[in-house]
Amino acid sequence: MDIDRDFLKKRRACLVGIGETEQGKVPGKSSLQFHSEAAKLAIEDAGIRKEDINGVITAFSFVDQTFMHCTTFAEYFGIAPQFYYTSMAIGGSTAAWMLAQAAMAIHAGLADVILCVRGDNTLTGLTSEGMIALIKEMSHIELEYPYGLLTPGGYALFAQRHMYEFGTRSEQLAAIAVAMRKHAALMPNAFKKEPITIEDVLNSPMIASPLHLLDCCLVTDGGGAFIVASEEKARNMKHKPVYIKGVAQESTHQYISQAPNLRELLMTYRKAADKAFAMAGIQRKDIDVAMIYDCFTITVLMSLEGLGFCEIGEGGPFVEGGRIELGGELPVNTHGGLLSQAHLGGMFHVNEAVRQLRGEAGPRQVPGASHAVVTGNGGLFSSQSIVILGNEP
Amino acid sequence: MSEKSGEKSKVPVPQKRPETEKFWEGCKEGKLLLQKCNDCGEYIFYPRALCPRCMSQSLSWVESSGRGEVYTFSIHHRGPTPGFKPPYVVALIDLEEGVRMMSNVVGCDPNEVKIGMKVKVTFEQLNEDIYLPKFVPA
Repeated sequence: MDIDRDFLKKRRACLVGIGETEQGKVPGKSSLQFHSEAAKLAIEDAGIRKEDINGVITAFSFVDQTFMHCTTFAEYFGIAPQFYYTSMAIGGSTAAWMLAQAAMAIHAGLADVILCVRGDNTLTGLTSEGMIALIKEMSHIELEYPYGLLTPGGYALFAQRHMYEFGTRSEQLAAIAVAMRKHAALMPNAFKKEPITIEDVLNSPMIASPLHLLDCCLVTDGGGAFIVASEEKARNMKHKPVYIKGVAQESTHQYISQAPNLRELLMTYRKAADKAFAMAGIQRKDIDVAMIYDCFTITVLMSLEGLGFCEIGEGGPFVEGGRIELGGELPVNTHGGLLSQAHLGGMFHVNEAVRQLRGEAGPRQVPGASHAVVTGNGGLFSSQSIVILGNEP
Repeated sequence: MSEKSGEKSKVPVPQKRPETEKFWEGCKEGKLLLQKCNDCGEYIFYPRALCPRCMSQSLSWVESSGRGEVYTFSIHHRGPTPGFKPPYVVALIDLEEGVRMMSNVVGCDPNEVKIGMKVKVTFEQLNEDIYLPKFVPA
């Protein structure tokens, strides 16, 4: 069916507050503590009271598996929401889709100030058994996991095929990791800032061919939050609002052995992106900065093709020569992304887009940025979320 | 899966479920069984209770030729548990019948595995009941 291109115009939803705790190796804090600290920062950033929050969206914790996660958090934090979405669990696709879910709730009139929050002590709190459980969840328990598929291995299967079909090279994937590290160096709250070169990526240990250690995202502790409000409520808040202008999602499979062929997979992504851009009423060339889910370097390359910033198969040449770096044609993940800043499932892709569109990104600011795209990718290209943001209605 | 403590160091052994019991019986007899929809003719893998194309619940088990080719692969230099001995090859195999399955390519140097390489099934015994289908160069 055709999706309603105008639903976001009928009752507009805006990002009004962002919060982000210390990221990296932060021992001694629980998942709910990180949630709460990030939520408090976002409330302060929006310049509102806790009592103004009437909707809450949470996801999950890898460390503390919780039945009814959202209401557990709401109780801990001391709020009684009239709208909540508990345990949104589409992996790395979650953060971006929280925005869409919040916009839908606002459109429906179920709430008008919605807190979206995640936090986890994944680095210091996750046991080796917990890590194995996570790896298991990514694959079919009977007919994939027994073959020893790692999560990087799943993305490696895509990368190997991409190289075979399109001639993509490891140096091109490495250019993505190098760009993220350069950006992280300018981000105060980034875990990995020491510069790396393409050679460093290629010389880092091979994890699952063709992906090296530095093709893989970080594992970190920390919390992140953002607040979505109706335009009416946003008017009286501290910052100029950032508008949610277009949303789309798609899924072709869960397990990688069931994924369509590479080109078909990316064409499905392209169709979803077309819907998001049509809803936003803008073109690809109008995007000033892109926050692309970067669990692995290949994820960025394929997402850029799927989004339509380049043709399918041309992601390799596209990411070379600084095009995705600050000062380039399409700066990607100016905060350093999951590869170098921190990994909280893409919450900070949203937050950095807000900073960019407010003009508050400091040394990372893309001059005059007015539109951003934020993507999420869950599972093994199993769930795609695409959101377009702008600083005008 | 083997979830008991102390099993962490071993390779995981699949546990049969209602949809897969017949599949594992086939493996034990040295046959790679696929489901085929009696209504639309679709080959189905992994095993399910209904056809994901037409929802028919009338499915037959048919024996695959066990031949196929490598769609893509990754040489794993680390494993999820110590039971795996890197380097090993995780691959997606396109069977002649048109379905794709994950497996390991064994019986050759990992560096010899290529996309498009012809392979055939073999079975590796994990316990008295479970024989895991793997592939060797054809």
